[in-house]
Amino acid sequence: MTTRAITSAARSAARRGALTAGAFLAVGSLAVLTGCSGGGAEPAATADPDEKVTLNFAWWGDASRAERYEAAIDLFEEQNPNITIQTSFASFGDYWTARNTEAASRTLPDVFQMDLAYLAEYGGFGHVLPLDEYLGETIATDGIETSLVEAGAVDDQIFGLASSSSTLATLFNGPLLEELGVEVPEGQLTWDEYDDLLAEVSAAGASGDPVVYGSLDYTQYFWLFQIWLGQQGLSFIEDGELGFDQEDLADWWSRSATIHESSGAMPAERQAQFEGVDALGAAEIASDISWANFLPRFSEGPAAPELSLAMPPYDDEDNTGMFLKPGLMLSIGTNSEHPAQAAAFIDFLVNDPEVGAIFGMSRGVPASATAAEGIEASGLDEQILAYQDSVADKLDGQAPPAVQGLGTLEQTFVAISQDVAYGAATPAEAAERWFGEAENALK
Amino acid sequence: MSATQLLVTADRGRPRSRDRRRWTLKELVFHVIVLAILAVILYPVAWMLLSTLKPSSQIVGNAQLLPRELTTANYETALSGIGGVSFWTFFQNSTILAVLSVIGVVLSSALAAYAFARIDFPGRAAYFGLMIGTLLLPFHVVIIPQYIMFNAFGMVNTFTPLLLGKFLATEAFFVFLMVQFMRGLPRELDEAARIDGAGHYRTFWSIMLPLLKPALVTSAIFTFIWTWNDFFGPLLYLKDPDLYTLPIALRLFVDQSSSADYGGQMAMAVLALIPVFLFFLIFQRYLVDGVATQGLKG
Repeated sequence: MTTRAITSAARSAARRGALTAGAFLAVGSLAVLTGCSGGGAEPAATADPDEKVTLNFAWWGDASRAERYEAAIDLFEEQNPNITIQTSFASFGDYWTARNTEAASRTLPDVFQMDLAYLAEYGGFGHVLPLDEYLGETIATDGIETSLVEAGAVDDQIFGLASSSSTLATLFNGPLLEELGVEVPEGQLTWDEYDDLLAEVSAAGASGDPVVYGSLDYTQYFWLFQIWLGQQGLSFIEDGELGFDQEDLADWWSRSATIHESSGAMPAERQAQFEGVDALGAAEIASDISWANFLPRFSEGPAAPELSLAMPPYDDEDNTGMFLKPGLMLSIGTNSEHPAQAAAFIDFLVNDPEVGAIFGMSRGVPASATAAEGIEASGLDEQILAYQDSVADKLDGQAPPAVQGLGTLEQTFVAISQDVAYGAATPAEAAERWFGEAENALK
Repeated sequence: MSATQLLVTADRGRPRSRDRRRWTLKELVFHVIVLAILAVILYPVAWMLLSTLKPSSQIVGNAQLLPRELTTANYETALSGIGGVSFWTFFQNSTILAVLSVIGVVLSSALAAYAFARIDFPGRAAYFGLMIGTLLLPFHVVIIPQYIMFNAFGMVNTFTPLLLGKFLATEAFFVFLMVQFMRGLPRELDEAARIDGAGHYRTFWSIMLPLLKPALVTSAIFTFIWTWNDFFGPLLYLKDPDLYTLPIALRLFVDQSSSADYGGQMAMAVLALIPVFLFFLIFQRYLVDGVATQGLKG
């Protein structure tokens, strides 16, 4: 009986640790593999149009994304009768477990969805092809913001092209604020004004059922922290190293203590119960800072709130720290036998107006202006586009460059900020711990 | 205090009513505690079952048991499948894998176990040690070499990598289980068969296999449940959504990068549980037999 118990325990532990271990092994065995895998033939820049080709394409996402991709692929196959697309999809974590194993055995899909967090690993180890020779040729880039193309760079080569982008926004549930007798803010808020507003909401909403709070603890948002850093004249990554010090991070996390003391933020215990559902969508908070393209998701929440978008708080109008975050990226596996066709497929997914129409805002705001033309924006989509347009000339920050370990930095940031929210660590202690982890991750 | 003792003491003429009151009180407390523990243990299961009937938005952040409004929408979502692949395809794939795995493991492990337990071949002890060693080998160590190997054979994106090992007695745990079981069977039976002119195959088929039934059933049940629930193997080796098994499909409902459909996931989890539950229900008495006959006499 004991053996049985041990075996089954080992199995479940195996599953839990699989992702990390997979990544670990992939990187480890690659170091060996890259040594002996030089001398591959240069990919042909142009495709033979009569060749019958099957491309593998993998992505992560839910059922609705699967349907949209399938619809887009049907279109592509119609236009390119010689190319067949073989699809595969999984949820985010599982997707990377599978890709890591494939990377180690050099069997990556021809085209696959890439995330900024993994770009440096995959590009740096030579798992994915540099796209530079296709950009501007097979893959049109005229409609794409230059900074967004460059966000896919690792060591001066572009390894992934973003099909969409997103920007952070402060979302307000106007009707709920009015109901609570709190004035809906007009114009831009500073950080302190925002904190005061949250406290005011919580005070007004304390007697309600359910109790309404100002917002979630926004200091847990890794990307918002980067914007805040930009506002302080700092950058998250500078020359491959952290561009700020422990005190800056402790300053940021000390805001958490402030909004928890004033009860402006929903208590961490209650927030934990909302895993997978949005408190904003359930109208248990009146405001949140999140990606603008998440607007439909919040609006379709249980309480169907009517939300407005504003810029995240800043203290100085000329220094907003805002940037476009590259959304879903696309990369070509180095082992692909048909890189030219793969590039044509990426061009189609990124630039085609009909694909734009199929996806709408569901993958973020289209990176390419040509794809955006296909969208007949209405309702929420229009609201998102209008917001993105309104901030276009205020983007003075910079998206962090793809560095190895960025994914780990984000994960540990979120994990350690939880300790701050629960009061298990002071901001200074937490900052010290995060710096310890970050130094390991960036090595 | 057991019932028989109670009867005996009652017959001795002690005041019966007092005894009965004491019995009731003790038993009552015991039962109340046991029932309370049962309720705690079963609560999540009941919650899951009833949650499948709630609208998706009322599931998370809500520990309430009874649905405020009933809906079958979750089952409709689950049965309609994901990304154009129907639920029944996932179900069929899981069934094929589980059934073939059971056949493979039972057949191959029994043969291998017979060799270890009854045939005195050179290096037996060393091979047995090696086999036990594979039990201790962490799964992660073999993932990537195995994947590269199966990829070189062109077997990725088929069921073969998931089944091949099962037919080659690589499930050391079951081989070990059966070896231990066979060691408990008296050698006199084999010897009697040999005197009657039976070779190894005849002895295996006619003598050992029938006696091995409890161990075979135990292995079959565990193989079925483990294969049915296996997530990692299918995730790595199956690329085409038409080949996905139920556990992978289940995970597709919860994607943290977009909103998660917990209702659909719960409904599918319940549907996926049914076969395992039935399998267990039908074979559980053999499972008990398997334990009870460990000390089998000749």
